[in-house]
Amino acid sequence: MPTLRAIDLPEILFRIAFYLDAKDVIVCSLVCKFFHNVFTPFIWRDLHFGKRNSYKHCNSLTRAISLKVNQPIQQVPDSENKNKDEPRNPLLEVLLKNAESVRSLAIHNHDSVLPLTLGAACTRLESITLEGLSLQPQKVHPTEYWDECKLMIRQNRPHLRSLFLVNWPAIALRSVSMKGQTLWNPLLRCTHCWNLRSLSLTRFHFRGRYMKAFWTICERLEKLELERVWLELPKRPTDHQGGTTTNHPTQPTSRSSPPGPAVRFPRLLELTVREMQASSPMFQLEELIAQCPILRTLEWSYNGIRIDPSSVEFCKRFIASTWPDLSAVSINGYLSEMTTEFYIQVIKSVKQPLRQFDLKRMSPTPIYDILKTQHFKSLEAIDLRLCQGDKSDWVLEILNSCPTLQRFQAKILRAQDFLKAKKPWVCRQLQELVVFIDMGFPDNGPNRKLTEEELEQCRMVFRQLAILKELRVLDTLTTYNAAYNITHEDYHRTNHLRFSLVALPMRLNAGLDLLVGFTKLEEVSFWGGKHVVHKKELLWMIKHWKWLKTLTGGWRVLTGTVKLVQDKYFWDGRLRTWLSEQGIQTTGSRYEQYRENELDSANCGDCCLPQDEEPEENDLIVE
Amino acid sequence: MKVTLESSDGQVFTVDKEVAELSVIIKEMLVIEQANQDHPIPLLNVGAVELAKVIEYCEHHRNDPTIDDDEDYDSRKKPIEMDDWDKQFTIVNKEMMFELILAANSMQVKPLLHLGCRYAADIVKRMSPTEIRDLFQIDDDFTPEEQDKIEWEKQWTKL
Repeated sequence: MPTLRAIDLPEILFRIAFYLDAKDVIVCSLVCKFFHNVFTPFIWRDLHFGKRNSYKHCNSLTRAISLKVNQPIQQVPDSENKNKDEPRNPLLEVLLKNAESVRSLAIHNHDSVLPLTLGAACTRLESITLEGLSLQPQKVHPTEYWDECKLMIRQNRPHLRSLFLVNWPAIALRSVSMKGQTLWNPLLRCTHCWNLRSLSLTRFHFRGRYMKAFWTICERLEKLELERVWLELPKRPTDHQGGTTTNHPTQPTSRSSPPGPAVRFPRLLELTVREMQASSPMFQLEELIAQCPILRTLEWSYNGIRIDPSSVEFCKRFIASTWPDLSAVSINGYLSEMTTEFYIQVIKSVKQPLRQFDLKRMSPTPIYDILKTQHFKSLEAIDLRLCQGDKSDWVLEILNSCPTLQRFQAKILRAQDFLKAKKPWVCRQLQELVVFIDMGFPDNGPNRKLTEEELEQCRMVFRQLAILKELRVLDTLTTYNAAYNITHEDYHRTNHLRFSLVALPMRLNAGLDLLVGFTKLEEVSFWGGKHVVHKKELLWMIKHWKWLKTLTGGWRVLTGTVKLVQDKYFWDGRLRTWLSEQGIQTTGSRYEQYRENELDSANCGDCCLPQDEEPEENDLIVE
Repeated sequence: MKVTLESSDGQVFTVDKEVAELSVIIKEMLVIEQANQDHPIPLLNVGAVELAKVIEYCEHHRNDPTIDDDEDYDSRKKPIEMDDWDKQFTIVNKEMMFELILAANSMQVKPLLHLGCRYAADIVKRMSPTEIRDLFQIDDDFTPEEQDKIEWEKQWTKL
């Protein structure tokens, strides 16, 4: 009798599947019948329709399958003869067959009803993302969208846990045929989704009965994200209450209030409020933030140009323990009224380990010292970008002493400081690193080649970076701007930092390949001003960083005509087009103009074509 | 307090109760048979070699917080940290590791099960179906018709 093997048990294969990605799951499903049955559901688990770079809510390990639906979509006939022709769409057939396996469905900027038809056939959806139904009447009739949409939410009501809605105006503005009409939106159908725990609304307008539905849903939410949302709240009877601030607002609905203090978000743990220009910061504090008694994480950003006391008011309440569990705070708003003394007072009032405490534009030394002595073991996010000076000693100290750090933004990290110490950093959980890594080599002339010794130092830096295996964002570009501003008045002097900072070259000969373990990387921004990133490197990145969605560079280009441009792939847009075909966007790149005599073609290596040779089409194909 | 465990081939191991309780099965058994702890707990599916290795793992992780994954063992939501010790621990041959997965599964030692499955996933990553068949000695049992159907479906599963 053959002995039982681990791979004979479906429950073990299930567990293995969770450690694989989409490609591997497909391969496993082709092994044998038993594997096929176990692994096939994982192929269809997370479906994303739309552009790859618009995936916002997928984890780096999510088996997101970007079906190229554009082609078959055109086979979907017009709405009139849709019913009789529908089964002939092979894609829809396959999708419907596997609808039971889908757990997460994301639809980004789509004009076809097909993804929604699939959604309506699913019954086990746990997460739905709907972004920007374009409402182009010539493409599809809006009511058809909504009928499918309603059906989708009704079918998946018991399992739905997360809902992400992007771009839902209250009334049709652009669509000519519907201009001025109230638009239906999915919130209304969610009042019976009892398991809904997470809601995210971006560029969302609502009022009336939608508002009512929203408050009902809020009572069961654990996580809420509001960005550019226009709320229309009922006027609160401030006259009767003497206009004082209170934590017990009257309930907006007619339903009987439960005993005790009624709050809008009794279960909310995580709140994000961003750019809600339509309501004042004080109003946001009062009506949203103050309504969450068990809040743990708060991210709040508001337009901070006008003088506004709400941040100070927030801090006063924070000291008064309005939110006893709040351990991660990030506020970006008007903070000028806050003195350092008050800030210290706030941070001293904290009784528990902090995961984050960020009041943007304020990070003086005494606060850093308090964080260092009391909270470094628990901090998950630190932002030093708005500090005075470059604070590179803090940067290194943080990397060496914050084991739970996940997001870290700073200005400059000097490689020479940590290369000497040869100490591996402790922040192994780091997911986001935004800092300019300065190699500190002397003579930063654009034509100087790096010596072998310097290249070895670059490799040591890459080796140090390579332990950050959880990294999703590696950004050495945006802080370069911040570095510029350190000594802004000296901008035109020859001793300005922009002349002395030496970026880490993202080149294979400098050890880029040591980052092969960065399997979760989604976003890379690099400064290629001196050491240009070439096709060879790009091919390597695409091959090894499968989740790369954004590649932003400081690209070095020559002034003058296309003929003179060294990296002509980029200049004539071919490289950009090619990258976007690979699902990688380059929006936000910077172009540094150089004169011809400043460029060193030899340093470019063998990956640049001679200037007058036309690039061949197949030069750009990944092996 | 100590408990004794007996492997399928009759070897008896004495371990601390809190170590043994990393196994959900043993933990439940101990609750049920509270009064009767003199007898060794029989583990019918686990051989002595594997049991020794499982105990070694549990000893090292005795103070770890428990992971509760019954509802959803989606590793992405709760990534389990693999420390240097774990890496050292997984340096065994493949057969041994798969035996360990089986043992961890039958004893329900959740963190070890995760560790083993992660290890197994790393092995099959980037392999072709043929290579996986060779690795596990699995026969390709698809009929030609099924093969055609799969090929046809495959075109929609491309990334």
